[in-house]
Amino acid sequence: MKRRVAIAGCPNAGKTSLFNQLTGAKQKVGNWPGQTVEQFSGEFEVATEGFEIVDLPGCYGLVAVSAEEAIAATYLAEERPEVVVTVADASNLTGSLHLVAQIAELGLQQVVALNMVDVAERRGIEIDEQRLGATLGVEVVRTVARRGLGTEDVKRAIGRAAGATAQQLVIDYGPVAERHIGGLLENIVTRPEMTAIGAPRWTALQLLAGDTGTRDRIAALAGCDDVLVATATARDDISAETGYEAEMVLAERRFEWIARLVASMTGSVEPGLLWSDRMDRVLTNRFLGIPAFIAVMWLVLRVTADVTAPYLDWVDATMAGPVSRWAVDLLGLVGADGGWIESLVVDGVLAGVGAVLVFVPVLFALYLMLALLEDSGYMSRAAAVMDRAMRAVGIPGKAFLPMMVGFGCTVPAIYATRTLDSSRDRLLTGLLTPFMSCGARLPVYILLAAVFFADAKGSVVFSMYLLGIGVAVFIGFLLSKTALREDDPTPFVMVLPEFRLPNARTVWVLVRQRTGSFIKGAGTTILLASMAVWLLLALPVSGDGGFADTEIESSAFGAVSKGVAPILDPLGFGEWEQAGSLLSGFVAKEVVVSTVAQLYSVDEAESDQYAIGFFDDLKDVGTSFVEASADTLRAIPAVVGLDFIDLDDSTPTALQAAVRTSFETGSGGRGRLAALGFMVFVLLYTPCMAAVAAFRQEFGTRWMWISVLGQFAIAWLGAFLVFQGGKLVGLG
Amino acid sequence: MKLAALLTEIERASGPILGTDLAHRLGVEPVEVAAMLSALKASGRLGPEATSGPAASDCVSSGACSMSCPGPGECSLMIDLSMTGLEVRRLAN
Repeated sequence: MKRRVAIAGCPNAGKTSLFNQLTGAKQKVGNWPGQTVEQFSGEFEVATEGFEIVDLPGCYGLVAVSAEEAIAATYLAEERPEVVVTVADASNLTGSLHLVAQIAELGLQQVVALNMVDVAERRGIEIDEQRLGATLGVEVVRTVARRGLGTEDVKRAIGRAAGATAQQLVIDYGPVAERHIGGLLENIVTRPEMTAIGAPRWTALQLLAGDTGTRDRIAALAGCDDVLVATATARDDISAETGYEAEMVLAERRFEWIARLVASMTGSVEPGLLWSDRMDRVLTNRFLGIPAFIAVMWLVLRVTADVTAPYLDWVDATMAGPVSRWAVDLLGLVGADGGWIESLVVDGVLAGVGAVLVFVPVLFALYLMLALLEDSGYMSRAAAVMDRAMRAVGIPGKAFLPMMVGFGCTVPAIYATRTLDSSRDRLLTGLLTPFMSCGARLPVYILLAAVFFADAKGSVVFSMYLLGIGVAVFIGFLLSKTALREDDPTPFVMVLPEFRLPNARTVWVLVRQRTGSFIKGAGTTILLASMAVWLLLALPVSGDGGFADTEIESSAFGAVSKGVAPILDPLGFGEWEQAGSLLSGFVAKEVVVSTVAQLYSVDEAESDQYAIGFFDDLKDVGTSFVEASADTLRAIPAVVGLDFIDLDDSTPTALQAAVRTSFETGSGGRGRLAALGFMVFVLLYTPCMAAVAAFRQEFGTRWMWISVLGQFAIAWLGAFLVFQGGKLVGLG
Repeated sequence: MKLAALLTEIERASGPILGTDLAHRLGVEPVEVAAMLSALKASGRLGPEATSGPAASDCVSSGACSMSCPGPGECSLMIDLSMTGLEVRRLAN
């Protein structure tokens, strides 16, 4: 029969890495009895002797509250494995020693794997493992489990510990607690059934600490109820005598004991945290935090909007020129040119999907910047800073989490409201998340900013993001004072990850996945939407034209759009094409851009910027890519005001020219104001249908309609204020 | 009773609070607050709570996302805040 070993440790201490190193491929997966939590076990040998090892769920201590903690505590107390390998994070020794100390108090034979010693050494932390082991009565082994260092030493230590007599650690919990521990001990040691569930002193400690698992095990024993009554009395007495709850008295003494032990070995506090803490003093400071957050956002959006402009132009020219020509040539080869199929492919698919794909470089840059911020640990600081600002106006704590997620996509942001405690907080946050500008809205801003605000694209896009936050805070404030009054806040400590240099691989994976998701969306949602818009454009409802041979204004799409356009007229963008593009944005916000491209039906393929001929086209595509790369590199210093390239002298594309004409015409010559209003409208109006479906699922049909109609009203009002207000003061 | 003082500050805060803010309020270094939080976690008075991540799988399992959804737990549009929350717990007598 194999000897039984358990491996325990705090989350992120490297427990799983060491378990994998010890067992290799000899692993089994099952469930803990009566639980849905997975149980991993495996086997290994030490000098031909076989051991079976069980991987316990990560836990910080043995006072169990969660299911995972209860599993670990119950297994150790009831199964009493021959050896417990406790993985301690050497770079956070104080945090890890609570579990080590509690297992030592339980009286189990223990091997401590002092893991991540390489990280600790880099931070200047030196640990005297001999002294640590002697104090705790255990063997301490240095490991770097990730790289397999020390694994054989751990195996040999397990071999030595198995069969040896365990030395129970006794910590002095002070006169008051010790008196009550002694009182309970007298009760416990006289009952064999109670001594069977764990070392008597440990059982007494767990009872006084309020551990429900220990209490339940004793409650299940016949004739032991008086121990529970004595425990309750002892806890009350400790509280009355010290002024603190019993578990706090025990935790305090253990904390002091561990602090003294760590100080005696390392001689100082762990200095590795200080660099990150210094950064936090600025970035989460109550006065500097928000300006720092705004500065970071400004930088992100300047890079996103300005630096990528040469690539955007390159993709646009490639899609409109060579790709469109190649598609027409291919259709000609199969005899499908000149008819409705060519119209579907060129005016529907290529115009629609192509117009969205043009923005791939922009989204790539946005996702790159977001990934750098995420992996460095800044995003959580930004969330914390936003939280402070929002709570000041009555928006619930924790609302910032889904709202930050909303910068990526509104749908997961709405589902992220599940992390909030009360239904009121969830609903309020769900109503606010759509105001955070998701990635899909960015192409709309970039298109209009490039046409009307070419000299300040990044700043205009940045102002949209800022406006979204501002509107969310304002609406949240109004709702929390009226329909959704504030509940009692939940006490909650936010533990931020340490700052670190972003890992290139992690960043690349994130950027690749997110950009891939956007491209996939263009290949599915946008493709279908573009084809649907093309179909509605091809269907005549008035005039003399036939299918796919009708004036756009006479098409079904034109008729619907014309019906909606008057509502938008006071906002400066009451042209039916603009109304139609906003209608299609309900499918997905990127579709606004693809519909604009289809409606203006610009034929850039006729431009003469590329030579005709497949290989000449290919050569020009390559050459222009190199030129775009060079321009991008030269554009980077411009973000901080060093202009080495004039990026605004490029000739507007046919689409941009058509957009400009349309906005100028529809607004009576105030195109810039109307475009700004249009961007505000896109930022604030009803989110895409996937987000609406998510909202309905989470909050019900009634609130879904309130959200949809409310957002439309807010967007209308916002755009109205921009256009009419701007006109009033003579702007535009 | 440093831990009790820390717990009082957490409960006194109207909602989420940062370790750096707790350090400022208690007049200690953030590294000491981190150690005290570990002690409170080990004592069961502070419980870890996942605050980002699970929503991604919730989102996918509901099937309401767009057609480009990559599958359970792999929502690439989910911004990972990499932070955990610790909630105060009450232990039964």
